Amino acid sequence: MLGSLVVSLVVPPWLSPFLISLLNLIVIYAILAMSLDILMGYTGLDSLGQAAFFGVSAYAVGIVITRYGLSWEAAVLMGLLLSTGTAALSGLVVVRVKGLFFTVITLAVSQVFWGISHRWGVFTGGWNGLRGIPRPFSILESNLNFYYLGLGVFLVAGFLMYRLVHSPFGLTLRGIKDSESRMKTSGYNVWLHKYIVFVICGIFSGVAGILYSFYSGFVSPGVLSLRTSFDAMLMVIMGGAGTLVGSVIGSAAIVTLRNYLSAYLDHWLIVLGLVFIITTLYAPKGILGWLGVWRGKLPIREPVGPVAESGLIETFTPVSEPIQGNTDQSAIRSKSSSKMEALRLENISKSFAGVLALDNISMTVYSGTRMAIIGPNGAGKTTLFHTISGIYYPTAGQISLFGKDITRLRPHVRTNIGLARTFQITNLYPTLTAIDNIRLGIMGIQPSKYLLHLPVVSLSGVNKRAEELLGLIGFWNYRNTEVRNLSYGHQRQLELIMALACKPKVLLLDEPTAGLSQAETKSMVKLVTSLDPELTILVIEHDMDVAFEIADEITVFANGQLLIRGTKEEIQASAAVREVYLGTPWV
Amino acid sequence: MDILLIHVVNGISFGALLFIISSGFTLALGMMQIVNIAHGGLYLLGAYIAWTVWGATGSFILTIVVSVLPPMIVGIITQKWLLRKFYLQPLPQMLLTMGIALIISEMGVILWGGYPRVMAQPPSLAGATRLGSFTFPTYRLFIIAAGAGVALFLWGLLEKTRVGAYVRACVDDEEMARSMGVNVPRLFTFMFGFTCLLAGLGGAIGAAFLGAYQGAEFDILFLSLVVVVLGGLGSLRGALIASLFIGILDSLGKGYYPELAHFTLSAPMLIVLAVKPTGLLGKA
Repeated sequence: MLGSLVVSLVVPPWLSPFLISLLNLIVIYAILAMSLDILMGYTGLDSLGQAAFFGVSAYAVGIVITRYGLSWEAAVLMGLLLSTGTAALSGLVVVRVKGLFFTVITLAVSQVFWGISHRWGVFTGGWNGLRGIPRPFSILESNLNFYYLGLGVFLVAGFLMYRLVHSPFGLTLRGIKDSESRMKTSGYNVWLHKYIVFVICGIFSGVAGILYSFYSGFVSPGVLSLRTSFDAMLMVIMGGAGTLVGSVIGSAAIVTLRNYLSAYLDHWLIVLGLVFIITTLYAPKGILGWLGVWRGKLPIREPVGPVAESGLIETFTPVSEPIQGNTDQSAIRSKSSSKMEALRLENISKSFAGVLALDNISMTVYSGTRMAIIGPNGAGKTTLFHTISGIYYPTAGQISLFGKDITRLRPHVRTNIGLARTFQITNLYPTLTAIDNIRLGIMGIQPSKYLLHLPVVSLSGVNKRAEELLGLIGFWNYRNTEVRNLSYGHQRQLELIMALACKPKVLLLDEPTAGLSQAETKSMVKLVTSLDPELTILVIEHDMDVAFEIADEITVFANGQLLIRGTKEEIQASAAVREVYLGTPWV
Repeated sequence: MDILLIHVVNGISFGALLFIISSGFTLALGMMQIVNIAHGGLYLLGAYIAWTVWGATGSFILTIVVSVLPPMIVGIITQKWLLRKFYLQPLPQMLLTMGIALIISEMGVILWGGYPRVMAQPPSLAGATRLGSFTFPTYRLFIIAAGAGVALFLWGLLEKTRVGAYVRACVDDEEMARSMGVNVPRLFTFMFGFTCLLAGLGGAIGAAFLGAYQGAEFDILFLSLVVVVLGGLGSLRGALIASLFIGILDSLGKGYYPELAHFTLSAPMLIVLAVKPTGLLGKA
């Protein structure tokens, strides 16, 4: 890295004017590509509209100087303002959708600007564009000097972007890319995070556009065209998405290719088209991926204890000390005088276009209760959890958490009030390490999640708590393993710890022992029963032994209805429950 | 009042052409999640070929038939050798079709010299027709009829035939369709080729109307995007409504406020996006 910096500073004066002009374009497009990389590679938002911000600010500079005759400072200011404004406005619309929708809409919106640029000729110079944009200072007339300016801007921008992706906020972006639903139920306002990063990347793209305008001296509709957006995307992918450095490499590759090709070949567009095709076919992970350089991990520089051994774990590590050290939990809970209402459901119904999944459910759960929810498949148990946690909104009825109506609140708001859940199908962040997973779990309810400038590894409070939580399941030595490399049993345990990380008061566990072996199940039960007696826990379980061991009360669901609720003995004796599970005798 | 009616009919005819062009785009998008960036290029190919064949033969029917074949063949080859490798991955498919678009664009320059070509209207469809007390350009009426024909054909194909049922099954649950014996790869190749044929058809019909020119590939792509985003990704009915809506609005706009010509295309889309990002008839 340092070597290339030295080279980029020292070598250029010896290069030919052609190469210097290439270098100028490379640093400009590198800024554009890096801003797209943050959106694509880190947040999972594949935008084909970055040309909009690049072009809008380039045109702003052109128009302010050539049409209004103002100074270069005014031009830069207008460029920044317009690209920020454009990103802020379009972000409101665009960030509401995901995946293919997002990509197509960003493309469409940027194309609108392109159309404006060539049709509103009076203002923008039409197809001919605007010419004669002077460099701000005469010393910058020389392309070599301009290159050093561009390099400086590139280094500053690159440094800021680097800090961004390694900050707590940057980690939240990667979490969003891996699992939005997990982020939402961990307390993150996912829309807001996406909006913020969209605007920030729009500003960086705008900075590139300003540089471009001054460098080339003229702007034309090409800066807003499809090709600019696609070029940026190709640069990111060719270099390797999710690395920032890859975008720089990609920029160098594409700029060089374009300029050499157009100098020597008449029909160089065909070659460019082939480059698109070949890159996609043979290097989908980009040059860095092809070179086997790993991508996307944060460098670990924390002061930690013994370094982890190999990645995969063979032996199952049993749970360490229970949190409270008390063995007679139920006795403590029943003696508890605080009969505070933790969760209340009133006449909750949920139907999916004719299928009534939840039928008029009403129940009240007091704090400190351990309740198991059992029932045959399709009874509505997971739907109940989804409705309580906010993934579904009920078609009728009300839900209150500690007296507060949460019926229409979004999932992350509920988490911040004190609700947490695990998922039936393990829902962690597969490409992130165990400790990053936990960090995300912890920061969900903390304001530190919006910090943009510090490295996330430097948050000592978060690190300490992560150590505590990982220690509960003896995971400290595996903290740097990517979750997708962990065994199923370990992932399931981590899932539980994740839910604990946001300091919940009500915990929903959806089949926590599903798929676990006997030994793993025992450990899971031990962990759950050792949790803080103040914690209200609802567990969906199919394993009756587990359910009866964890719970004081059992609720039986069938066909979307609450069949019966009582103690273990009452449930075991109930004929109705037997009928639901075993059916009536065939006469 | 007369002027208004003329503008509206003009708008309907533009909308009909828009529908023919964008129907293929929205079908590919809705069925196979393919964003065909080369869609405009295929229009251009069809338009250039139509201009050539018409000049050589003077037979409109032959023109149409011959012009739609090369785009379809390009589509089949692209799907079979390139797109199929990135099944249901929109991003690589977009990059691949962008590559194809660039190649087609440059082929246009090589083969037709890069000059704009507008096909002459076939004599049988040229001139004007009297309908009651109004006179309309015959070719515009032809476009409306062609658009209606395409809409009916597509409706029939998708709703009434077995192939259409297979297609709709694949949209819903491709894995299930495959396990029921539907040859999904072959179906997709056929369907993608068909959507490219529709693009070519749009080019053949539009050659005498919008013409063929370098840059049309991106103009047409933009129009298709607007229609699809406004109507809802993947919805043919949405594409029909959006095409007519945009066509009429654009015509009225051009007629009364020529300076705002571009906005009449994009404003409806932006307004709908702000309120319902998935489009008029789109599913969330």
